[in-house]
Order: sequence, then structure tokens, then C-alpha cells
Amino acid sequence: MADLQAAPAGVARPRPRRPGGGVTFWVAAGFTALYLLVALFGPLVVPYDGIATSIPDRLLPPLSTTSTGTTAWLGTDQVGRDLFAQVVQGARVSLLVAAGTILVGGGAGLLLGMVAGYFGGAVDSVIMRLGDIQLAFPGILLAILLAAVLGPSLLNVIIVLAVLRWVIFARLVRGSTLATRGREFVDSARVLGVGTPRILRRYILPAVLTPFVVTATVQVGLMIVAEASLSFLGLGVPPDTASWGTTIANGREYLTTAWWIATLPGAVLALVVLALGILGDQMRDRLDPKLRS
Amino acid sequence: MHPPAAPAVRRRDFLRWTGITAVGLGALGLPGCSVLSGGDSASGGRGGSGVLTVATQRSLDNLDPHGPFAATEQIRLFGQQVFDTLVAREGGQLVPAVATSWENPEPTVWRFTLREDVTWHDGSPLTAEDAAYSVRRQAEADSPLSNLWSALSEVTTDGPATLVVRTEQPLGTVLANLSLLRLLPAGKADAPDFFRSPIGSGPFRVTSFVPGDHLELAAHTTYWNGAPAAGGLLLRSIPEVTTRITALESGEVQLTWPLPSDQIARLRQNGDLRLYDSPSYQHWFNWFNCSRAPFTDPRVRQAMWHAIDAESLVANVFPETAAVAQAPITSAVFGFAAQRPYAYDPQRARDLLAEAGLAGGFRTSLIWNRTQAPQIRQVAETFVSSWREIGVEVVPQELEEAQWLERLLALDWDMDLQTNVTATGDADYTLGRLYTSAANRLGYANPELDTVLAGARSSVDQAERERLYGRACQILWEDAVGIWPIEMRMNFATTTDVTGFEPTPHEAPELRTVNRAV
Repeated sequence: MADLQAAPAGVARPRPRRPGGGVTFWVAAGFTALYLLVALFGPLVVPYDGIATSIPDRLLPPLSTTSTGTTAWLGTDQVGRDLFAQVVQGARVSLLVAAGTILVGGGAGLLLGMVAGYFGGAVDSVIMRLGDIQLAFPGILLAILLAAVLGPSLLNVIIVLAVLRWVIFARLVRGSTLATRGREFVDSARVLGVGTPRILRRYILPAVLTPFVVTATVQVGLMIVAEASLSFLGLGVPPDTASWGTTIANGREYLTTAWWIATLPGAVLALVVLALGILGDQMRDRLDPKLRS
Repeated sequence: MHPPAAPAVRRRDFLRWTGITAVGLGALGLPGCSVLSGGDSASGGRGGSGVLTVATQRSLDNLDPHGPFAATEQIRLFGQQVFDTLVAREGGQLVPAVATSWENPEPTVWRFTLREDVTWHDGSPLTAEDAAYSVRRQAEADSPLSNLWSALSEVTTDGPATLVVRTEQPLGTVLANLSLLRLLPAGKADAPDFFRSPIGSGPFRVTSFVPGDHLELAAHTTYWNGAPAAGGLLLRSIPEVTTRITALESGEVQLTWPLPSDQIARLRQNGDLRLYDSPSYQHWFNWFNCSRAPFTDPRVRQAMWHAIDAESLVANVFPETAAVAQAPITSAVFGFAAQRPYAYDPQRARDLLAEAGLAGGFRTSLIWNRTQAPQIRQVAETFVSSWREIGVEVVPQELEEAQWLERLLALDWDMDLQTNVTATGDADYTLGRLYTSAANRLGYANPELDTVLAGARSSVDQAERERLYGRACQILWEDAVGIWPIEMRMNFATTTDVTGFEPTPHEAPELRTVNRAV
């Protein structure tokens, strides 16, 4: 990063990409797009019913034909539910949780970070010390605690993860706000008598938005893993809601006899998180505001 | 973000267990002397040693055999090894143990003559005073077993070797109850930290206990009924079924139960393992909270039952391990009387709901605890799916054991799915303990049933008791206070180097005769 920051001002394109870097980016972007498409529209095409079981069809391997004559592309689970439909529905649930968390946790972080950074002083101290205290506490432990208290539901998972992640956003936004509030255009706005809410909205917000979006992209992948972890532990979504974590947990007992139950959703989870991670990383390289000053 | 990666922990545990193996070796030759000699640590769990590692699914968190968890399988297993009882159950018969003989001079008076050669693990002799203390303690304890002793009026001693038990009414289950009553040393058991490392008089003594993880036992070599065959036992809890079975297959664990039905066929193929099965005292039930609408109406409960296809459940999910239940207790239990099965008939179920004014169905919830039994989630999900067929929407709630138990006992639930073991092998343990209005375990109060159960409990005529329990089975069954879908068979697996293991119909086999070939 150090040599990049030393690059001459006004460079519109970042450093020359590593050989293959572009390909990685496009593969990651393509896979992410596929994930989004499946999460948004998949359940419409392959409907999943979390309640309906069919025990005569349990533990069928991939590509089997069920008693109703349909093909189970990825096999069936321990109560005869179609695994493909479950994975597709799981994609939607994970996206819902990730988006919800970014919206709630990221929104709260954005607001509190801007307030803390812009006003400084006691407000800043209170907000940021609160964040520090929370960060000092092991994240997943806090999540388990909250999830156990609130009980399993989709909304509660979002609340838990939002509580867990707002600090990450707040810290980032505060930093960008601090860097922006002393700039000439903010000063001039203030001198012209523009109100504080308007300054925050019109002058500070656009400056903090880019790093915010980059961080959010990286966080989406982490949220998906966090949701799967909670569900794996039985603290995430309720048993009748499809989740990759729940499916993997169910399949654990069958690793030796029906490997597909845990393995296939596990592979999908790994690929999605990897793709989002690469995408976020590359976006950071391309959009880093420090390269565009 | 996933649970802590296993390898580091595994290795530490591995070292600890091999260390324990060495301790056991020392204990075999030198009782009471725990020498960590390092011995066969390189050979891991397989090296012959006389210490048997037993893995169970549920975790042992507490060592009070009279306490709130006294009825749980893990406490009964531990209690069976560490404590004595006055009377023992052997193949359906009640036989002398610490009590050599007994008489019943009047219907409400029982006199027991005790052995005089029984010593506690600390060397002091066991007297009638200890036995009297233990009966009193159990009767007064905050425990699901206390209810068995509700008719107790007084316990006295007559010299060091005679115990006299008096009951308010005649009590037909005195002997069966005593087969579960663990003897504790009088006075000592009141010390605040006694149950961290309790003293008993059974074939094994406690050497170390890590709640929720493992319990180490060493042989009590001066045991009155013959020193145990093994030098020691290590009782481990491994909640993860796959991990537990893998530990068995790798030889890290030498004895385990229960076995998941789906893996039995595969385990049978494994030449390094021996599988046992026996009829069991364990049955499944889905209780209705009969004090909560709409389960206050028997027609609704019957409708729920008609929606369940128990035969398909047995054929598909428990092909090797269960049969369709015929009564609220299993066929191996004293007092069993076969009832007319509830046919799988969704239309009949819908009709019954309509009769009860719920033609449009209703919404309710089901709680269960995942560590109760392998495959419990599958049974729950299958039921929830079946109930939707008749228009009943059920919210599934899988709870942690502590939370589940708390809500269960507080009657804070609509439906509860679980397994239960009739530990004494006598219907009184299950029917007389759980279904009386006084016990109020499922919000069900039926004066007729109370009379029948009280009659069965107070009769000392076994034929009469059998008839009365048959009637109790019928009332519970026809009133459908719960659904009894299946009864289990007990399945155990050992490695082939284990000798002397006898399967039991309950989950607390006595391991005194079990050993490993060296």
C-alpha cells in the first residue's frame, strides 16, 4: 500500500494488475452475480418447503429419482427433503441476513460514525469507547449469548449480527469523517451558514460512502459465514427455515453414510464466501479513495 | 467462526486419556495409588490396560444420585457403578444386593437385613444408619425420583444391620424403588463439596470428575460382591454422534450406546466391533400440554395422533432399532398391556378436529432437546410435516438441554417430544411418577387415573398391580394425553477386545464384569 500511496496524484487507474488478476476478478464477480441471481429468483423456480418431509425418500444420493418421480439433483437429506431446493433457499436466507445486517448494522455504524467524527469531544468518546468495549469481547461468543437470549428467528439473527458489526462500520466512517471535516469545502459551507444536518448529508456523506461500500462488500461474505455458524450451532434460523449452516449441521451425522448432505452446501458456502472476499479485495484496490485524491 | 478447530484439543485430550490409561494401570496393581508412569502412551487407546473407555451421548454435569438430575440416563449410569442399592434388578427379578433378605410383616412395614461386609470407598463400614439416611434424603430431595417415595412415613434402624421402612399406605413398589435408591454415607453427604468427588460403596470409586466432559473411576478392589474385572472406567460424553462412532471405530472408545439406526448395518460389517441389542425400557412420546387450549380437548389430541404414521417412521427411520408402540410403556416393562393402535388416518384426524370446532386447524409449537436421542430432530420434523397435512401449523423449537428441562418442568410448552426410560422396569416408575394429577407434568388431571395408579402403587399383590397398570395404560392411551409412536430396542457396541458385557433394557448397565483383553 505504501508504494501505491506514493503514486503521482491524478492517476485514474490503479496499479497494473497482476497477471490473471483481472480474470480472478471477473470469475469472482460472475460467481457473485450468479449467487445473487439464485438467491433472488432461485426459490421461484425451485420452490422449497421446509416443513414437508418425505421419509421414504430419505438419504437418496445425488441424481436419484424420488418416490414422486422428480429428480433429486443433489440428493435428499435425512428426512427426504430435496437438497438442491434447500441449497437454493439457503442462498436466499443467507443473502437476506447479509443484506439485513448491512442495512441495520451498517446504517447504525454510518450514522454513529459520522456523528462521532464530526462532533468529536464527549459524543465521540462515548460512542467510540462503547465500540471498543464491544470489540474487546469475542465476537462469536457475544453472538451466541445474544442469540441464546433472543431465540432462533431470522430477524434475531440479523439483530445479533448487526449488534456485532456496527462498530466496524462506525470506526471506518468516523475516520473518513475526521479526514473530511477539516477540508476547505466543508469549512466554506459552514461559513456560508449551511446547517449541520445538511453538511453531514451533502458534504461528508459522499466522501465516506466509497470506503463504506468497499467494507460492506467484504462484510457480506463474513456475514454469510456468521449466519451459517450460528445456524450450525442451532442458534440461527429456526429448524424449518433453510440455512446452509443448518443443513451442514444436519449432515454431520451422516458424513460416513450420506456425505452429500453436509459436503455440497459446505462447498457452495465456501465458494460464495471466497468469491465475495476476492471481489471485495479487488474493489478495495480499484476504489480506494487514497488513490484518487 | 466455526466451533474451535479440533486438532489441538484432540491432541491434548489424547495425551490426557493415555495418561489416565496409565493411572488405571497403576490402580490395578496398587489400589489408591495414581502413578503416571507414561506406560503405553504411544499405543493410544488400543494398548491393553484394563481401563475401559465408555462414551455416552449425554453429558454428566452433576454427581448427586438423588438430585434434580437423578432420573437422567447419565446419572443412573454413573450411580450404577459408584453406589450400591439395597435391592437389585436382574433379568426382570428383584434380587438381594446390600439387603440380604427382607420381610413384609404388615402391608405398611418392610424389614430389611443388611450385609455386614460392605465398606465405603474410604474403608468405613456401611450400616443401617447409612441406608436410613439415604432413603430419607431421596424422599426429601428436590428430584423427579422423590415422587416414588411420597407414601413414605418413617425410616428407622433396628441395630446396625436392620432397616425398617414404614409407609402411610401399603406401597407395592418398595422393592422396585429401592433398586434405584443409591446408598450414600450418612452425614458425609451433607458436606458442601461431597458431590465433587462422592464416596459410595459400589464397584468403582470416583478419582476425577470434569463436569460435562469426563468422569474417571477406579476399581474398588474390596467390593463385597467381588472386585470389578476392569481396573478402571473412563466415562466420556461425546454429544456428536459421528464423533462418538468414529471414536469407537478407531478404538479410542471401547463401549458406547445408543447407536444411530442408520449406521447399525454398516457397523455390523466391521469385524473390530461387536453389536448387542436387547428389548428396552425406552419409549418415545409426544406429550400434549393438556392444560393449554386446544389440547384440553381429547378429540384434538386424538386427531394429532391419527395424523402420525408410526409404521412408516419405524420402517424408514428406525428400521433396526424400534417397533410401533402399543402402550405408554414398553412391552418389556412390568404392567404393560397392549392397546388398540391409532391408525394413520388423516381424514379421521380432520374430522375429529372439525368435531372439536377446529376445522380450520390451529397453530401451536413443539419443543425438544437435540441431545435427548439420536434422530430426534428427524422425528420432530416428520411429525411437524404430518400435522400440517391436517391443517395444524406447528412451530418447531429445538432447545438446549438446560433450557428445555426448565421449560418442560415449568409446563411452559404446547407439545414436548422426548424419550423416556422406565428405569425400574416397573410401570409405577413411568405411569405412577409422571401421570398423576399431583405430579402435574403435562397439565393432565384425571381422578379415575389417580385412583387406579394409587391402587396399583399401594397393592402388594403383583397380579392386582398388573391389572391396574393395564387399566392405567388404557386410560392414558384412549385419552391420548400424549402420542406414543414407537418403543426402542437398546443397541450397544463394543470393540472385540471387550469381554463380559451384558446388554440391559435400560441405559445404565452395570460394568463390574466388563473388561478388556490385554
